[in-house]
Amino acid sequence: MILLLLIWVVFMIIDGLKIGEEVKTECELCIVGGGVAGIVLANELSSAFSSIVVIESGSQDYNAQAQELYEAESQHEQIPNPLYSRLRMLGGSSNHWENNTSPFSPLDFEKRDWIKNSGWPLGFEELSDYYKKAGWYCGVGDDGYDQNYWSKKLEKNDLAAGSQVLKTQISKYAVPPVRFFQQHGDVLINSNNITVYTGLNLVDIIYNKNNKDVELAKAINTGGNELSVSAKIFIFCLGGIENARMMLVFNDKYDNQLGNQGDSVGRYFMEHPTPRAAQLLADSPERYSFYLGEETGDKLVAGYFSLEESVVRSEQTTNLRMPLHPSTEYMLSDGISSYHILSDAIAKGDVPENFGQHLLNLTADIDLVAEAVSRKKFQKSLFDYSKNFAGFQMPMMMEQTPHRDNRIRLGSKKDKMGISKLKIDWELKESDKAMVWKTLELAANEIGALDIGRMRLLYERASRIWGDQLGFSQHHMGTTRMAENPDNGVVDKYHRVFGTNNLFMGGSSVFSTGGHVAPTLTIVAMTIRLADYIKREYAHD
Amino acid sequence: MIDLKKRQLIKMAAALPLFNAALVSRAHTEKSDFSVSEINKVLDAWLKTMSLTPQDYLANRSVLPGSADKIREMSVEDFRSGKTLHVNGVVLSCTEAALIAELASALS
Ligand SMILES: Cc1cc2nc3c(=O)[nH]c(=O)nc-3n(C[C@H](O)[C@H](O)[C@H](O)COP(=O)(O)OP(=O)(O)OC[C@H]3O[C@@H](n4cnc5c(N)ncnc54)[C@H](O)[C@@H]3O)c2cc1C
Repeated sequence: MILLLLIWVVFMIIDGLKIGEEVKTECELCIVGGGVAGIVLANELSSAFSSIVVIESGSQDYNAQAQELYEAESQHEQIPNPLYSRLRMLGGSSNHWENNTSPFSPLDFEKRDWIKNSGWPLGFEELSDYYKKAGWYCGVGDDGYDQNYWSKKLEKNDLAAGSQVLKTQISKYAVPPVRFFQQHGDVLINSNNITVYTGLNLVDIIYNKNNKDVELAKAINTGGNELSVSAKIFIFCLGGIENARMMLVFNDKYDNQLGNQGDSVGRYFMEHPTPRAAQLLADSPERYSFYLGEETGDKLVAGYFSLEESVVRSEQTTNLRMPLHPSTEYMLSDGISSYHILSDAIAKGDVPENFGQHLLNLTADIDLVAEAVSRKKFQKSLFDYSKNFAGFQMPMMMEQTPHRDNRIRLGSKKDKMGISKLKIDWELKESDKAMVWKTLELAANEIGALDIGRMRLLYERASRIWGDQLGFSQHHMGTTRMAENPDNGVVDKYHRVFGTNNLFMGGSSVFSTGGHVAPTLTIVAMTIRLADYIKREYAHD
Repeated sequence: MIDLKKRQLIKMAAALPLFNAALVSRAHTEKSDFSVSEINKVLDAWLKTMSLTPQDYLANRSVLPGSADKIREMSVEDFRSGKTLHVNGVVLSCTEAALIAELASALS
């Protein structure tokens, strides 16, 4: 017998793993996904609606069965499998983020003729007021990111002060990092108008094609028991990849009427690759202390270099986040890098590009190569000077142009909930790499002109920089992008899915472009703005 | 014995941040031959890519021995106008590269 249970308002976290076979509930607002965006929404909207339901796949603790649902069927070899790069539990990936925050800049939102598919339907000025509160949520305070303020307050030298080309920008990290459920979960636990279901996975929706309303969301647990939620408003906050995955599933069912009129769902996937393409040679680290980070109160503040927006514009290039990490002789050694390139090539029976140069590097740095071998094979250091300061690595964060063919697709295999696993097609285009080199050359010239060191551009290591050494930031963006119209995007400037009245999406999947800084502060600012909009449009007096 | 020209060149080179920064600090390590090979790389790169000799370049820019301020000024001007030489990836102003190249030929 099917157990039909009608739950109205329950004031607690309900373990969805233990619900009956078919549970139905009604509410005004249904938020799916209890990660960063979902938790911020619940906080912002708790006083505006009489009944809110939050559905979360994981629970308060890590759960391997829930986590498995993130596993992709296939992904580009360089992109980490979301099984490892996301956490499926209350608080989402804030449970393992680094809490690095900086705001986007005005140029990020503009249409830039030299960046294909750039331009948001939203201007920076529409978001800027929300960054202060976003800083509070992220645990970094509302004291902003102005480099003059921080340089004075910390009594540090801004080495780019006065430059027309280069500027210092600020990153703030909460210490320890904010875990969103621990920090902001009280509202979910204690508000008598919010019910949180854990252990339940969104698998289906009912969409009324005539009035364009989403009427119902269905979520199931690992035992197959189902919760149906009917609501006035639905907001999906499943993360940068899962938002697209579920929207692809729903568009299969509803003939691409849910934001997929222009075949945009899942496309324009962007990461923030972190190529180690340059070094800064300098005599000692002291002079650079503004860039090495200083703890003040419960946060760490660190400067990094970027290009001035006027230069990005006039040179038609892309901006980079260029932090400085002090490095030793060993870490900056050419010989070691060339050794790896040569051994890889030899193993494959190839001759690498710049063979002669690599051989020279290896010979010139043979002591450090020996050091590397000794450290690896015998866990023993041979030469003390290998630990001497030699300069800075610049593990830069780059913007990726949104390309239609970088995309999330549904595969042929299904997960335990019966939902198609995803495939991730991704490529870093040569044009993006070329812009990185161009920006680095501009930065190198300016660093020379400012006389604050000399930059070294590691062209000869390109095969490794863009290959096995390429890092990723675990930032997933663009897959349900914001646009003026459904021909080139999935949601409008208020996050509403095109073709629906009452379905919204939160998180970085709605970013039209990815910028060159970490996304979560901007996710939070946009979520607060979305909450304001929802309040204005739907809330009672 | 070191001759006057070499002496002047070394004095000029000492004014270069590159020397203070990368080479001198590395030369203090046990890898003392390192800076010499780096200097030679600059000369090689110069000969491969530039049409003027280092000496002529410096003369054209009125960089005189001992004028540390002038070297810095010319160097900044070079960087700002994109007159740079890449040596093993290190981006040098042509003025400092010319000086180092001169030093390399004087020492060889
Ligand atoms: C190692 C690491 C370091 C990072 N460091 C930084 C950093 O320093 N700075 C920065 O800005 N960003 C960082 N990030 C990125 C940051 O974690 C994300 O931007 C942020 O968590 C995104 O928030 P979100 O709410 O959109 O998604 P998430 O936090 O991923 O939350 C999504 C939620 O939806 C739930 N969910 C998914 N599918 C379903 C479903 N079908 N049904 C129900 N619930 C579902 C998930 O369980 C999860 O709780 C880092 C990420 C990683 C992995």
